This record gives sequence, structure tokens and C-alpha cells, in this order.
Amino acid sequence: MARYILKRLLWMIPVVLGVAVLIFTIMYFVPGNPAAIMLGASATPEEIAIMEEALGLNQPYFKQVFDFLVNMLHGDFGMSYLYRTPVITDLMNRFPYTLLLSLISMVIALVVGILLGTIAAVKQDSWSDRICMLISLVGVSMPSFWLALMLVVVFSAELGWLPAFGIGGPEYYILPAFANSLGGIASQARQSRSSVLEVIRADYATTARAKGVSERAILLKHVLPNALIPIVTSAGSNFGRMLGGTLIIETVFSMPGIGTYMVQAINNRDYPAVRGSVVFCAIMFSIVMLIVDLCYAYIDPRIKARYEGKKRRKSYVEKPVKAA
Amino acid sequence: MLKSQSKPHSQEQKSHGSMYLAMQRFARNKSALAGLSLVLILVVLAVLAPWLSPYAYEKIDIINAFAKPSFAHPFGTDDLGRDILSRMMYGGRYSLSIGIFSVIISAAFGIFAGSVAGYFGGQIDNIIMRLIDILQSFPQILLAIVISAALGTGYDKCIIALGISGIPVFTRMMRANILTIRSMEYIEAATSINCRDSRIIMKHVIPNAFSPLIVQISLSLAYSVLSAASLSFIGLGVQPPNPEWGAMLSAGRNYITNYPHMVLFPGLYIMICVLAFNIIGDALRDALDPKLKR
Repeated sequence: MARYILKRLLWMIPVVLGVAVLIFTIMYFVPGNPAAIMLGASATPEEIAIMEEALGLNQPYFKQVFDFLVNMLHGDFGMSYLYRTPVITDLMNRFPYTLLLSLISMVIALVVGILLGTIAAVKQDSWSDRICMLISLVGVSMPSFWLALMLVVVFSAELGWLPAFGIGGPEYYILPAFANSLGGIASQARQSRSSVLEVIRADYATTARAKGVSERAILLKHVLPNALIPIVTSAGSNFGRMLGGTLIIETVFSMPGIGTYMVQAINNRDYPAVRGSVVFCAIMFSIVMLIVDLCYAYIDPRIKARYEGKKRRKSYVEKPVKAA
Repeated sequence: MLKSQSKPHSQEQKSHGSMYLAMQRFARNKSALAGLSLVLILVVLAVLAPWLSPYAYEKIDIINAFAKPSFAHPFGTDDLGRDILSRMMYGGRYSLSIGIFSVIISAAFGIFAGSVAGYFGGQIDNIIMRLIDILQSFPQILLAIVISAALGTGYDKCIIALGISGIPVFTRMMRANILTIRSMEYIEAATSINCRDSRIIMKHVIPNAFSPLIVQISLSLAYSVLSAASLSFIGLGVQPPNPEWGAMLSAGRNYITNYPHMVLFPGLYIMICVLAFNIIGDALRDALDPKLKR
């Protein structure tokens, strides 16, 4: 198992470096001179030249990329043009809000999605199945920011139950988390339904049924543990959607997270802030994907076995989890 | 008895290609037809907007600003008194065409890169897939945001940003397809009876790689329309005077507490459009791979 974790951790290094180079390159070729933008319209060419020198913008491309990478490895994403503060400090101050909102949405999506999907699969072709699938189809198709706006209209403007924007106690997270999780609930429900359906008629489930095991026990002990593997995989990609959604939902609720920061930075052409927040998000995303992969290995003994001794490997391969 | 019953059936199956049978299954699916009709209606409304829309989309009518839905303005008017229904119909020209063109870009590059990676394998495969790994280490919408931030705002730039951000999905899918198909028994069988490579590619590889592709195109269209709206909503994509759906939402959000109709209807319109593409995608998946249908 340690070997697997190590391999995944090592693989993260080139990916993160690649992301950093890619983002730097995209931003490098953006038309417009950052030094001129920073100084404003009244700056003279001399002032711009001095600023370019100070920012290192007159260096060749490769030198700039190299400096950017070295600084990044030291946790330095440069200074924000707009706020004149280190980007990393801004990001660290804002990251907790973004992470918290993504995690809450993710938990809601997982719990509700798996529940809906399992109900739909167990009661296949019944009314509850159809209703669950309708909810998920609508959920997948609804723009989350629009749902957020509508929730604000109903629960803040009309009913006055929940705050419409800002940050504070738990009540400030209810609307954003719900709006952000609906898409996740929907795709999780679809994935859960199809993977539970796949397992529910497997031979070992039939065997258990023939032995007289109760349907509940079959579901909890045989079906769900086996159906969990594809569910966890889709949960990983779902988290990406949550994180992306959070960035946009934050702007609706004026939450001081990375999304609001990034959008402000983009609108003000604050390139170090844009670069920093994107690379930061990519690193966080990779870490989450790593955690998901580790959970995946934990749930699926076949993967764990591949990285353990060769003798045990044979006995694990091709044997479903907790098969009866 | 049994024989005589099954014979004409199998003959009929033989005389039609698998595509024909899939389309037959698709046509029998009521929700698929509903989705298809919805898309057709939206396309017709968008294409014929200059003739069908009750007002010109840019016609300002300050006296009627913020009008609630009424007979004259079924979906109300916005802050400048422009008719929301007309703007939504015109908006389809932006939103739908952004969806279509960006998916064409993603599919063209993705299919090419995926086929090359899957077919040649080895180092080329390695290089392409590592690049795709890097592109996929962002959430897709974040990649679109970054590219738009670099390119700037506007219709064409929005298409490019969404197109590039969709490439990894198609590349991965095409590569996986080609790899699975290459190791299939029917390919082995075709090789063993001495089929030419060209025949194997034309008759076996392409048709089998094709069906997941159509499904993906339909689902990508849904995602693309949704992402285009998201981009415009945060001020990237298409800019406000133009009636793109996301831009309309963005313009309406400031008046949302008093005039929710400005946001309600464009959002519903986006949802219906995305829903229709999703339904078609699901139905295509069922029609093209009947084994999957439960």
C-alpha cells in the first residue's frame, strides 16, 4: 500500500509542474503589458520600463518560467497587482471558505445521491424509481448559479429565512451548499443506480437470497460494498465539478473564497492572482483526487493486493469484495 | 413453428445495419422523441427569431421597463424595457451555436489525439496522455475560465475556450474505445480469416467506436451550453448587450429581489435546452447499446 501511495504522490509532481507551466504560458501570451496595467493610463514609458525591470518581465520566457516554478516551490505566487499583497496569503485566507463549501456540497451529494440511486435501483421500474431519475435528470440540467439565484429569491427575499449573501454562521452555507450539490446529487444518483443494478443480480447476491438472507442484509453486506467501487470513482470526478461549481456559486453569494478572488482578478487583469489561484486550485484538486484514489484502493482489495506480496496477489485477484 | 417465426425476424435483422436498428430503437423511445422535438423547437425559434420574435431584441422601451409578465410581454421586460421572450429566442443563436461549435472543436481534436494515442501506442500514447492528464488536473469549467481569461471576452473566444476544455474527455474516450476494440474477439476473428486492415478499420473499428462517440457528443452539447452560460454569467463569455442566456442572467441578478422574472425565464430556458440534450444522450446510449438498458 505504501508503494501505491508513494507512486501516486510522485506522479503528482510532474502534473503540478506541467499545470504551472501551462498556466504561465497561457497567461504569458495574453495581450497587454502587466506593468502598464499596474501603473495605470498616466504612466510614462520610462516608468513602465522600470516596473518591467522590477517585475522581471523583460527576461526571456524560459527564465521567467523557471523563476515562476522556483518561486512556486517556495510557496511564492508573486504579488497581487490589485491588492499589493502576496497572492499566497490571499489564497490561504480564502481557501477555507472554498474548501468548506465544496466539502459540504460533496457530502450532501454523496449521501443524498447514493440514497436516491439505491432506492431507484431496489425499486426498479416503480414510481419511486421514476421520480428519483427525474430528479437526477433535472438536477444535471439545471445551472447551479441559476438555482442559487432562485433560492435567494424564495428563501431570502420572500420568506426571509436565510441570508442572501456574505459569510457567518452555518446558516450562510445552507443555500450555497444546496445549490452547489444538486448537480452532484443528480450524477451520483445515476451512477449509484446503475452500479447497484449491476450488482443486485450478481450470482453471489442470488446465492445469498437462496440461503434466505434478508433483502436488507443482502443490500448492506453484499450489494453496497461491491457497488461502492464505481460510485467512489465517480465521486472523485464529482468533486471536480463541486470545486468548479463552488467558484461560480461563491460569486453569487459574495463569499470571500477563491472563486470570488479569481473572478475579481480576471476582471482586473491581476495576472499573478489569476495564475496563483488556478495553480492552487489544480494542486488542491490533485490532492483530493489522490485521496479518492487511496479510498478506492482501500475499498477494492484487488488494487491493494496488486501492490502487496506476489503470493497473496493470486488469491485476491478476480474475487469480488465480500462475495458470499 | 418456432423456426418459421424466428426466420423472417433474423432475415430482417440481417438486411438492416446496426445503425438502422439503433435508430429504430431510438424512435420507439418516447422521451427521446420528446427531447429531440424540444431541441428542434429551440433551434427553429433561434434560427427564425427575426421573424418569430414579437419584438426586436435590442428595442429599448424605457416606459415599459421591468414590466411583469403580461399578454404583451409573456416573460416580462428587463431593466431597459426590452422584451425578455424575444431576447431569449435570439439568445438561442448564441447559446446553441456556442454549444455546437465548441463541441465540434473538442470532438475533432479529441478524436484525432485519442485515435493516434490508441492506435500507435508506445511513446506517442504516453506523451499525449500525459498532456491530457495535465489538462484534466483542473475541473473542466476552471480550464474554460482560465482560457477565457487569457483570450478575453466575446463569442468566438468563448467557443475556443469551451472547445479546448472539452478535448480531454473526447481524447480519453476515443483512446479507450480503440484499445478495447483492438483486443476484441471479432477483430481477432476478422484478422484470422485474413481481412484486410482497411476492411477491419472501416467495418469493425469505426462503427464500434462511433456509438459511444455520438452519446458523448450529445452529453457534451448539454455541458457546453451550461458552461457557456456559466462563463457569461461571471462576465467572461458573451458580453451583456448581446442576448446570450447566461449574460441575461448576469444582467438580471442585480434586480432579482424585485423582478425575479428577469432571471427565472432565461434560466428555465437554459434548463430545458440542457435537459433536452441530456435526454437525447441517454436515449442514444440506450438505443446504441441495448445490453446496457435496464
